Amino acid sequence: MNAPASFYIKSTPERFDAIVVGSGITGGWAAKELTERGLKTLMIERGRPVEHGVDYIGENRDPWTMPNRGKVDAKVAEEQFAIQRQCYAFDEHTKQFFNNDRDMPYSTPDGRPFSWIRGNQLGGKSLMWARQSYRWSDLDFEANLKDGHGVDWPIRYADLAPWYSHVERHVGISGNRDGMAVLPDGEFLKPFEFNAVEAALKQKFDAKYAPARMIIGRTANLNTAGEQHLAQGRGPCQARSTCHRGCSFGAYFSTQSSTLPAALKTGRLRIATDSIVHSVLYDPKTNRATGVRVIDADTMETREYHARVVILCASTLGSTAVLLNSTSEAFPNGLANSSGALGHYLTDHLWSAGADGRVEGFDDHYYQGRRPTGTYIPRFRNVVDKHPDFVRGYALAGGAAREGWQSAAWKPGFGKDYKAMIRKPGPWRFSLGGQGEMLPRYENGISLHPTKKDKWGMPLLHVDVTHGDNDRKMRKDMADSAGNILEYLGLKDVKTKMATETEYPPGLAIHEMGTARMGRDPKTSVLNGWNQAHDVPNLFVTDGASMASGAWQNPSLTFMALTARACAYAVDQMKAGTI
Amino acid sequence: MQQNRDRAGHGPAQPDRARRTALMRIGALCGLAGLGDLGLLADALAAAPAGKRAGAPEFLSPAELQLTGVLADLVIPRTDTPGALDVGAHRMVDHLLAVCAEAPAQAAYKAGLARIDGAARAGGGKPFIALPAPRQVALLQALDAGSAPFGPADQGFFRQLKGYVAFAYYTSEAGASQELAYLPVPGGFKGDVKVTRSTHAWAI
Repeated sequence: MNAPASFYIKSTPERFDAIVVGSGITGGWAAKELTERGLKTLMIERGRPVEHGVDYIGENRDPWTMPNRGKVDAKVAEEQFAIQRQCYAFDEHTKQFFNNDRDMPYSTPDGRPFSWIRGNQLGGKSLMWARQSYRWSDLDFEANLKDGHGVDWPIRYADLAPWYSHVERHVGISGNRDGMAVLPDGEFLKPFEFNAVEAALKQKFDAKYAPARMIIGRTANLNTAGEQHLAQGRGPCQARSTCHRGCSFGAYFSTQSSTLPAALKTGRLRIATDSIVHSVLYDPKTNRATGVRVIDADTMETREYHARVVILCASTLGSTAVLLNSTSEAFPNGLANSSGALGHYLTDHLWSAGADGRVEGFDDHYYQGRRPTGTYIPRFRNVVDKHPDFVRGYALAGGAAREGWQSAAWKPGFGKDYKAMIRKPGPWRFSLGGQGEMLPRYENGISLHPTKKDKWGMPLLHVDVTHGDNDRKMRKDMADSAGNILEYLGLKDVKTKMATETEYPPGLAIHEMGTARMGRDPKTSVLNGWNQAHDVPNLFVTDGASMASGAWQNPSLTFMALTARACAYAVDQMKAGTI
Repeated sequence: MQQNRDRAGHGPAQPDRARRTALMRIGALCGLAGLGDLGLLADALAAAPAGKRAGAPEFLSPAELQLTGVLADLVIPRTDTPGALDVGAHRMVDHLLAVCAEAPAQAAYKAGLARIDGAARAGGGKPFIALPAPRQVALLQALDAGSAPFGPADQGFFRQLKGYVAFAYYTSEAGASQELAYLPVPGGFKGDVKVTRSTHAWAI
């Protein structure tokens, strides 16, 4: 390591080659790629520093050592985490990684909730992401062009394929080479195993529903660690499935475990934490971004950082909020917003619709360890045939497990026999939950609130999202087809479930995408095919904001590939002197 | 009824003796020895240290804590491993109700306890904790089934109670690592292992 003793900075007169706003999944990748390609880079993070291992305060804690055994104080949750508490990963072990909703509020219209789940620290949501990692295919990149919803993607699978490979090799994705056109294979480590019930159900499913298949979820956990992962200081997954508490084994991909050490190794990275980016600085004479203005989260003081290129990786809504707040005579409605598309076409994934049921038999089969992934049925709707009610499609994620003590309340009885019953592994259950593509629509989006401001004086973000007709029909089909599949597979007590939009608001899939979309035409899109602003050539947005549609796969791997590709392009352009 | 066997095994022929023995054990678990008076024991139980949590209850009244302790012991008794009371589950239930429960759940819990005691007193004037063991078991069987003198709301309360007691017990060190199989660092995932007679369910 030739990193300096301290790579954290506050004020500096230095002009950097590049500024990266954000330190999550894409910010980490941008920092790695830019520094490894020779750029002196400043990473800016609004939250506090989190040191790998040391600051994983919820990790390696036996349940009986936690004051509330893993539950969060109800008053604290209500007053400070009213939104974040809705996230499945939010608990007593992890709450320090979630945004404080009291300090950082946002606004939604009455009766149209949107749940914005946020990280607020170095590493961002890379610390508690769900790690599912899937490539897109041309079915997804061509969708907008073919059915007319959204603008045509300026790239195709072939543009991104080598960059998927590039990031997969570094990240470490455990998965099986399934050979499916809708879900291209990648550079995989050994896949996690099915359990006995899943293996049996898969056989039955694949035979009945071909070409659809049930596969094992591809996840950014090192089922085996390759040389390149050991070199990052990472070790193999221990199957604790406590990833979102932080993993000091570095067995899952996060900024801290993977991209940050790589970037620091170059000696060219500096990090400014507790620095809330107010706006991107813009010089109308040169039509270039010149840096960023930040507000110190602790002191409220304002300072500036300067660089030759600015890469926004501040999260889907975060990056767009920065641009909307970067106004000037040339760009009165937000920087790089000559198209008027900025802030629009927000999507999330359609979620919380599926089915579950009980599997008979397999009493003498169990599993050991907690697998950090599940089963996955890639998209089958509108692939070969055409569904009469909706366009595009969804995946069904699931898994089988035996009931444990957690269902004790619903078991009849009490006393010695009740206790003896709970001691034994319970009946098998299997579930499927949909993850569907929401159509990009102009009216779904974000804006800066005209009057309300947060404690740093920043305008609140106003988020206005509803599901459309296609979305609603697809959600219904997610539940129906999950139920039908489970019935066919022979499950008992099959129940389909579909939460209402109030019970499960948009945003809660935590796959928000769009609002600074890529496109071919500067008149209808914010970014070109290199994630470069059409209007301002040394400004890039490489996170989820850049997505022209949302597809149905978990999106983070695609964000990473887009980021690495965009950064390589930016460095090439800088070397060529065009930016 | 299967659930009846253990407690009835103390001897329906000598209910008072069995009750005294059980309560003495509860007293001993709470760090009290040689208490002969049930009323005194009741007071002591409410005030005594149990597990690592001592002092006054955080949310329940002393009498409600005591009743929770007796119910916890009935739901998950000591067998070849410690029971719910041994690990201070009633104290943890009190803590979780105080800190992590929303107001409706808190109110439902208190109301449920009151209905149990009400049913006990209606049957002979004594509070639940002072009933002979077989009578306690019979009342809980009715509660579990939601049958007279109880109804569906009471059955719902018993689920809530069992949920709390199970949570407190199976997240305790003994509940997780002695009663169940606790493997914090499995070292990898095996998709298919054979269940034998000695297999315990995973605690986490």
